Amino acid sequence: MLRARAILFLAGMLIPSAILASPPPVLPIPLPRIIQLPTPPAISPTSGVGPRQVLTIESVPQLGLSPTVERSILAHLSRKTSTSNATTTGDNTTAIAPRHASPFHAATAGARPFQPVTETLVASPLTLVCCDDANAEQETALITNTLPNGVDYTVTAFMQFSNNNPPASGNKVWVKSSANSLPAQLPIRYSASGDPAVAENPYPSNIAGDRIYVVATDGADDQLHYPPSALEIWYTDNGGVSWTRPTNPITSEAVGSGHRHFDDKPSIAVSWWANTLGTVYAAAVRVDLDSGDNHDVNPNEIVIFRSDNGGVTFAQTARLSRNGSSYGSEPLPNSVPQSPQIVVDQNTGAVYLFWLEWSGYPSTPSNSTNANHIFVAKSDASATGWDVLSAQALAAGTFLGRGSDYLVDGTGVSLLAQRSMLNTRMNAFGRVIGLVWHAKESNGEHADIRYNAFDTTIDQWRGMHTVNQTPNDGKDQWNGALDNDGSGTVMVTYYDRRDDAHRYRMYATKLYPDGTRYAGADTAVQRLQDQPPSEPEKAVHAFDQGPFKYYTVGEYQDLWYWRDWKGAFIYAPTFSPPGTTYNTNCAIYHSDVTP
Amino acid sequence: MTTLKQLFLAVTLSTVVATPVLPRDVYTVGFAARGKSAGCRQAFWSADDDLYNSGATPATVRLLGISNGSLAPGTPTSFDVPPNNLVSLGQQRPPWVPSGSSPEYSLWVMHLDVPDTVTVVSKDIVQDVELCIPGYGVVATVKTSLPTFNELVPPNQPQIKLGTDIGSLVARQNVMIYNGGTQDASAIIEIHRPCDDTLVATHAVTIPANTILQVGGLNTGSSDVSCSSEAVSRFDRYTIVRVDQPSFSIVSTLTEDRPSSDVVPLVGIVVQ
Repeated sequence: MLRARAILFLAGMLIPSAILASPPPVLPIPLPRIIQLPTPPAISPTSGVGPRQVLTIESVPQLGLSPTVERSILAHLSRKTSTSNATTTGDNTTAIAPRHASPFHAATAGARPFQPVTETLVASPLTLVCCDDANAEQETALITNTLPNGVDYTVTAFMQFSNNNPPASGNKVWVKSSANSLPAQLPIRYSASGDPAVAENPYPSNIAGDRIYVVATDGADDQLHYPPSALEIWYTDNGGVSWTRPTNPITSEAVGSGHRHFDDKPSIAVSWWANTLGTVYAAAVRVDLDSGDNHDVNPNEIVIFRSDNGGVTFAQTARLSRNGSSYGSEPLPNSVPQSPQIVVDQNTGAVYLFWLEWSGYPSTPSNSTNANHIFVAKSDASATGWDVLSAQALAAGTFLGRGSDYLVDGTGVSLLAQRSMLNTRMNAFGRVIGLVWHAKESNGEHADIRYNAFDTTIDQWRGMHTVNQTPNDGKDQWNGALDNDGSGTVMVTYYDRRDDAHRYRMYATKLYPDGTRYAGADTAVQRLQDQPPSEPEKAVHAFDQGPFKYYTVGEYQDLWYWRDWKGAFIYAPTFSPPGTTYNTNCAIYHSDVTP
Repeated sequence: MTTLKQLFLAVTLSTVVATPVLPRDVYTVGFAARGKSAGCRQAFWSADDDLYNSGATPATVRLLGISNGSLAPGTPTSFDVPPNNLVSLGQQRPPWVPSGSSPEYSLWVMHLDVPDTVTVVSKDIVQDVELCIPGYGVVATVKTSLPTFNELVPPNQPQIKLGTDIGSLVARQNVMIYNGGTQDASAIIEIHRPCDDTLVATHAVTIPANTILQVGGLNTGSSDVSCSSEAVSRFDRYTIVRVDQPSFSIVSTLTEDRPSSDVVPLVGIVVQ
């Protein structure tokens, strides 16, 4: 405590008065509810952090943040501590209580003591969450909330392939809540749904407090994605006990509407900024399904939507295209955008959009440029006018996509179709938006997980880092997902074949917000013996090309990670352990990964 | 030769002829390639073989050799086809493909030892794959037959492929040539239009030993010509391949053109 105060005092002496006079944006976010904490901390009603933040003063100099940001954070901490009488928890931590706890420890909430950050993560044995059956579950998206009754709930949305055979029987989006013993399929208009993403308003007030959202695609044809199709949204206000699908989807594509589109890979975000708290934003890539020169969206574009009534209705606020964007926005610098990710800066309310363009578009349109870039655009809270900011360029051939989008296992003929996708998360403490993706190693084979941080204080990239311990190791790491704890520490999970040429398991790595690795080794979350001993990944078998077999374990995953008083946890789709009836189909497992 | 010896030989021969499971050589082609693309769609080409055992006992198929590389170490070189059952060669694991093969473009020959009770059919498969949506989707699959060979053609013997046209449609030819010898082979391809006795295309190529390659995009020429003879049609073509090593060749004639009406069936590929 004395040490913390000494740091704050020193910081106050060193910080120019101009900075102190202009503190960083403050979040007047409504007071989070406190649940059974071992030492209930005091809450500042003018806290500048969200409900998940644990501000560790000592960690500030370790973050690798810009001096300006570090000074701002120190100033912020100094001001808050001196004005709010915030208590500490005995480890130099000024705490803003999270309402969240590990979902599967709700019955013992508060029983686990807070643990300080260490270098190495420890993964508990996997626990089955859902669906150890003949179906395959993939692309889990996870979210946690605490309801007014003080109980933590976790909801995971996922794709389920019936009988492990997507071409024959389609895929559907299901949800499993810790509030329900059984999973439920979300109702759809057509025959196949997929690519779920989740978001929430974790606060009880403003627009649709405590609401959890799932967004996904909904199509009439599970293979061809031809119209009719829709971008669907569902929400729950009771932790997943029941779900509502609004009368109208976010957007839809009717049969006979001329050019054929499919709105794919949706992303959703809810503003946690006080002035727009509860506003919902969604983005998707609009894919042109027409052949030849019949492209009218050039051939992809990004569509943006906003809801001001808790997801009941959405309005399209922007359509970003190389051809020239509507709603007064700039034209996109590339014509084949993919993997849009929409993020709200909870410190300012600004809305950011990230996307990428793959390598190797097979029939490159004449105006397709800037492959192997990660792009970013920014808008105010209206999400109407967008400024395209400086893109992050990567080496040619870096991304896996269109023509070179598979990872080959040890047999040489089992191919995992795994295109490079972005996964993003606002890191409020680090004042950055973190991004992870997988990209080819330097020899053009295999893949590594990469991370970059976009600094929202200066709207600049912080620089790329390889997440996995040994870059260019000749092994495959892919489908990275990230989240960060209250002190800004980033945890990245990913699939990894470092231990076996055929089988993969999940690993986790800790980073500072700027992407610097913690000194500890990568942590194996799954045991290798949890997987079939001799088969290559069976996952979902897509189709054959002669002796070559294409599989998928999903295009991405989502991770929700909390390091609070009750530890951390991750969710992962994986194989069932040996001895179960169906040991080659993905099911959903949970692991506590504690720092 | 004594009478006894003649009798012994006759019995031996008759025994051999009557044996139902005599193996035979089969040369079959394997390939995988990504072909023409348009917008969101791309053609995925591949070859596969169906093997049916009409016998009452399992029949063992053996791999005698593979071209364009070598098998991965430790790969078994035989498998059994169950009685009265069909298996696909492409489904065998570990696969019989040269190490380092890519689904984007690979071509190889398998020299098999096949029991007589096993019938072999080779297939040329083309899939129309939707690429814009991550994860792929196969929109449609078409196939045609591929020839197999029981022996190699002796050096310099012309390999004459008749009817290498698709009627009056404008077409192109891809010619696969396998050099089964131990030295580099020189090969010449000629496409003939008999109507006016014209050599419409010719191509020379060198092929390494135990290697198959494909010469693509040979133009079959126009059929808008005056024939000197009414004995043939204006669109008739034939192709001659000459190789100075033991070899075989396969000529594929392809077109994406369509007849102006739909009263005739679509035919887009002919393989000989």
